Amino acid sequence: MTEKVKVCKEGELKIGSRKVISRDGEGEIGVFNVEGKYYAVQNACPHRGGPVCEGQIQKEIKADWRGPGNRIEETISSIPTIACPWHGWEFKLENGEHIGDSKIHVKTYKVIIEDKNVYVIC
Amino acid sequence: MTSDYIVDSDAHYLESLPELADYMPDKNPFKQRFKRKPNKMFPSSGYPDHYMYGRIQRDEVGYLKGQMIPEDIPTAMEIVGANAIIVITQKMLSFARLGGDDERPELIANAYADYMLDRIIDPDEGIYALLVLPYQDPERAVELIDRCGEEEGFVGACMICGGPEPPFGNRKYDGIYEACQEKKLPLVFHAGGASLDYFYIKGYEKFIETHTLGFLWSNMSQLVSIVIQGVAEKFPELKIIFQESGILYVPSLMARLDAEYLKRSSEAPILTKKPSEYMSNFYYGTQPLDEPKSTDYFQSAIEELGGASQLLYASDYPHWDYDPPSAIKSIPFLTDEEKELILGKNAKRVFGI
Ligand code: FES
Repeated sequence: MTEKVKVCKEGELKIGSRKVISRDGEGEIGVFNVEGKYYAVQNACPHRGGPVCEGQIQKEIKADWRGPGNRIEETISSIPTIACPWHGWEFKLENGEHIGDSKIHVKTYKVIIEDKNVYVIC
Repeated sequence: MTSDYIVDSDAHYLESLPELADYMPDKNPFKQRFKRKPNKMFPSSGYPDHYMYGRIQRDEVGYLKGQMIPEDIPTAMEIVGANAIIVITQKMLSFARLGGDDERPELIANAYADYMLDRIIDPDEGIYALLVLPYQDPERAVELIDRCGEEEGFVGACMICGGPEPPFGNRKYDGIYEACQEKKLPLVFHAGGASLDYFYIKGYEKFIETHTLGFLWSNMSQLVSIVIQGVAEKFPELKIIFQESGILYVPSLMARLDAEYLKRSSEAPILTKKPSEYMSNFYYGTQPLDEPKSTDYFQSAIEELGGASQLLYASDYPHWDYDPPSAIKSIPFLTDEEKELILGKNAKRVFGI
């Protein structure tokens, strides 16, 4: 059974801001507006249960190696991630995947806009 | 190949420096220096006597008398019970102590290569060697690989782990890895650096302390650098082997690196999988084989590091803590097939013997 939980009115959650909503007995969900796109993540880190949604949002660092003898250049990609503030486990906001191990996920949710409101589908 | 075919993947030979000097170019001034004052040219291994002042003996070969002769190698093979043997000489194990100029390492490594080909290597008799690389000057190391890497008796190349700076994950060694990969030369990282005098923390009292720590430290420090700097990602066909630190440190380092990596993935973006997944594709010499109390623990440790397919029996003969093949044969949980792999089949496959 899916549930539609209201987060806020459309436009209330400004670019770069976040809102953590709680559901009775179901834990918290963080909703983020990153560059105009909404993401929703469970506020419980799969590592030790840390408040991942309080973490810093940034872009994933990628490696660019141009062959033997060259330094591994690090570049900032366009993939938004959130890092759990407790120990740094870092997840892609898009699908919750840990950037170092695709077998580890933080739960993510779909965000929809309906009747000028923002909802999370749980 | 019979099922009890044994390959000793790491054994040693003690050459004399004046003998090596015969293989140096006549015009190089170092040649005479090496001939006349060898001990001035090459730091000793320092205190103490690894053989505990006569308590441990190796009278069957000339090692403790200060020099071995080529005929000692078949004797060593007989004592160990090996059908094939892969040798590195004693002086080359001390390579990391050549910490000043990069000319002596280059000169000695080249002389060693020619000496080994001329005097020691004999594939018909199962006697092989590793090409020890003067990593202090990576370009010259690549030249040596080009010159000798395809000689039949050199079944792999070798870098000594006792304290290279920067460590082996650094891009300055990329040329070496590229050349080894291209020539399909497996690359052995061999522990080194444990004497009281040369240990990186001064003040330990006994060799038992620095030997326990030193060989672990030297291999672990290079493993960490190699794995995190993505050597296996950059050179995926390169066969990587770590020798002479036992095996139990491997699963422990895997667990620690994985935990660090999950917390700090942004610092190692070149990696596409967890450190342990690279490490379980490396090979590990078994000597000195750890002897944990719990058999279950030992069994799961071997599974963790990749299983019997990743282990290579090594004697380390004639060194003081050598392992005969019975060290492997007596492991209770290994099947006969797994023992065969560790004692010979893996080394045959990895080194192309
Ligand atoms: S609890 Fe989130 S990283 Fe440890």
